[in-house]
Amino acid sequence: MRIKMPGIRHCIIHIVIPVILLSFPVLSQADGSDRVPKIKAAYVHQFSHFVSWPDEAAETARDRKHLILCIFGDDRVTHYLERLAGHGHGAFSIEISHPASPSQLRHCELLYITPSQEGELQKVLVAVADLPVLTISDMPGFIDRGGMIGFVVRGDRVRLEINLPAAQRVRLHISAKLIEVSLRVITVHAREAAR
Amino acid sequence: MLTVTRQIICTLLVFCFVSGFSQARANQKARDLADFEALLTLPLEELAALKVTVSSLEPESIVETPAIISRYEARKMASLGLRTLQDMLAFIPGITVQDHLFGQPFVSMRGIYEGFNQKVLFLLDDTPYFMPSHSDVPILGIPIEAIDHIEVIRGPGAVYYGTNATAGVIKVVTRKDRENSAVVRAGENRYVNGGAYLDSGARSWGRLNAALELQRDDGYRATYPAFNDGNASFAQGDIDKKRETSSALMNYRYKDFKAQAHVFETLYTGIAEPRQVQNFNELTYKGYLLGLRNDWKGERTSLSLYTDYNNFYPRFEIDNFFSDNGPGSVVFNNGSRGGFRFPDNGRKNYRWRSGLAAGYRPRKPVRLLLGLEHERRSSEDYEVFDGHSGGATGSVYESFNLSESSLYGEVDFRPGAQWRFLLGGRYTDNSITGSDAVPRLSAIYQVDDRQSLKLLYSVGFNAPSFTQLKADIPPFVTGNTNLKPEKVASLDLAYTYARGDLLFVANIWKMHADDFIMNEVVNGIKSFFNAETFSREGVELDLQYTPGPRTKLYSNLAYYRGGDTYSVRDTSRIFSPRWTFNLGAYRHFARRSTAGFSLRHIGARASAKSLWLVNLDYQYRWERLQLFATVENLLDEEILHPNMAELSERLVPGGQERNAKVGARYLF
Repeated sequence: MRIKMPGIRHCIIHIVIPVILLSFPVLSQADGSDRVPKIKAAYVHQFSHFVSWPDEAAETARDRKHLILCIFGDDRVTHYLERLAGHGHGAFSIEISHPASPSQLRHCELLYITPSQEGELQKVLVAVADLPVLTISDMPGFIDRGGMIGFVVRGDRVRLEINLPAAQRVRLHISAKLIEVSLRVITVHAREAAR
Repeated sequence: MLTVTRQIICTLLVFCFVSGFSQARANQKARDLADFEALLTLPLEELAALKVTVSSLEPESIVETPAIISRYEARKMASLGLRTLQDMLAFIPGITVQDHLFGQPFVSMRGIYEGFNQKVLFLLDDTPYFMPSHSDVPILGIPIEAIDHIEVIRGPGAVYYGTNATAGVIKVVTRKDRENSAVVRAGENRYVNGGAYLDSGARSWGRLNAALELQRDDGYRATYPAFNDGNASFAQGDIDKKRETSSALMNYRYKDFKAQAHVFETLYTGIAEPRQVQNFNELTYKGYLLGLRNDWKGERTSLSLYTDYNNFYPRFEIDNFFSDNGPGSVVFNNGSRGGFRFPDNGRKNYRWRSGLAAGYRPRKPVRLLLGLEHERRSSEDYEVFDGHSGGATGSVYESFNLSESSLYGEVDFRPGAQWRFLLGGRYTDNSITGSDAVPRLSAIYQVDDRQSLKLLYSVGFNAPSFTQLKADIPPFVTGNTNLKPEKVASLDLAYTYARGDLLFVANIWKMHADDFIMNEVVNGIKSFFNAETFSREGVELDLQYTPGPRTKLYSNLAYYRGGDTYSVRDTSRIFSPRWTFNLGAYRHFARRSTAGFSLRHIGARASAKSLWLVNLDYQYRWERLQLFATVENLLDEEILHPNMAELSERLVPGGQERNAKVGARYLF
């Protein structure tokens, strides 16, 4: 049996196309009601409280009076991370930086890498391998690939995964409180564990 | 009167829709900011305890996705010596890519292909991209520097994507990163390729990126072996097989609004009507795509609106072409040049698709999706022309158009942490082939965070192309206006294991085809028909392993039980390999170097021997400069495929002998 749907066709053509063209500046603003990216950005704000940088890095940050949060990539979390500019605690406030390539990451204290940059991950991690830069991402398996703090959504909560050896190697100290609220913590180097 | 009333109602709906969102906008923004500021004041423990509703658009892990998906990143594939989209696709389990007799490449997935209608849907980001007249896809037309990764869904994907997704879906995902790049490559036969990618970064007015590619090539010498099909004999001979392209892509994003523009022109050479080696043809594909999309996402709701316009058409120019003087009076003109074309630069060869998809999560374990889509496909007169006079001498078919409206929906239900069930369907009304509905059912059991079992059932459909319906080139090709859309049902049972450094997918599939559209050649006349029902079965394994930060290993295997055997019902399966196997790895070493290789094995089928194709790749990085060299077809195999597109055992050359290419890439 064939059912004619001229009404549906007309409605689609006459509604969808004008709505797209008319609504994009409207709809583009109405993007904020999803809480997951906001919570991830709020966690990043907390990291500035619960992570300690080695003396020389902390001194540099104190001199310039802010921690630099580098955002590598562009997604819904970065929209909220940008709103952290000026927030902070004690001697530091947060300043936002948008490095264009892995070679421009040396000045960062915190580095958020979006999942869209997964193809660049190894290069990024190699570029900051010897630097006191706290690497953060919500791409799957981030800490298993050498990252320091990963976000995962488990059940109905946004949880943290922490790779302690990766942070300790560059003398970053992650507080026990942060570890306590984490879902998973890597505590031993994979090679050591295999021995 | 009724139409006017409908238009008034529709226009009012538009205004209500837009003004409703306008009023909500200011309030929403203020609430959004206040909510975020409140979150910043929460103690860590409370932040960790906050309950959230995970949005439908949150990326899903491969463990819980209701599909068999392979994902390969373009730059990692380059490290294996796979530096074209065609080579990347050929590395995916269950896929073979080979050349048509006319020169253009085509994709076969799980042994499914028909020469006048691609049965794999090609998406550029989220937009279907295929030629309305012949359903071909722009494999050579996407700038390689623009590609971030490819995702391939094996098995039908019709519920979301509509027609053409019978065998599977290929999605080319373009780059959105900020690393500008420029690349040049050179090789034998005056092969030169250049491309670039530029990104503006995030600005107050949005974000823009653009990529382009240019390739010129004198072509490699390809030998077509002699062949006799019982009706005609074809002598052995050589031609220069060329591949040239010019393409540009632009993406613009402003928050949730996306606009995309793409334009390309590609040239392939091969042999065409009447298919003797002296009928050297130049096949040009031209096309452009304009797409607009807005994805709005709330805590419980999502709405996507999109429209895309795609112009895409071919032009054949053939040496020693016959002239068509009406039915039954074809005259071969030695020394003449002619072919097939669409007049007026193919302006009327387009597809225009518009649609919306709305998601709603009424309560935590349930997600609902509802979509509406309308597409119009149009083709200009398809002419036979005389290359000397420039005039039209006949017609393959007259101008033609159709419209297709679809309604689709899905219920996604997660009764607990481990189970997920999906039930969906798509109803399509096609102005030529009538209406039909296809279902999709999925059950996923998540053993733990890393492992899952999936049972997936889906049905894909494929509307016949204009050529299959309307072609009339007596006495060579006749279309069939009585063709029905084909339906392919697929059942997959898959096991997935995924952790940060390892991905392993194993699946067993069974496919059942109804009204499969095929062609046959009887007494030299090609015609199209709906085949009798047939089934196929197979197994696919896919492994990606990262043993350390410097090394990556890829391996996959596909077994198709009926491959390379004759069947009266399933006449195309003799042209599909029983086994395909791919292996690749790369390693970074000595700080600046990367070496990699790929091995692709295609089993024997019909008259073609099995192939072992090995590529080697070496890269040297110095600051922002990368120098690289690739050796292709290291074993110097003679690459010959059966003429699968025309279900003929005639062998068609489909790749160059051993050759090397060198290049440089600069990042800035």
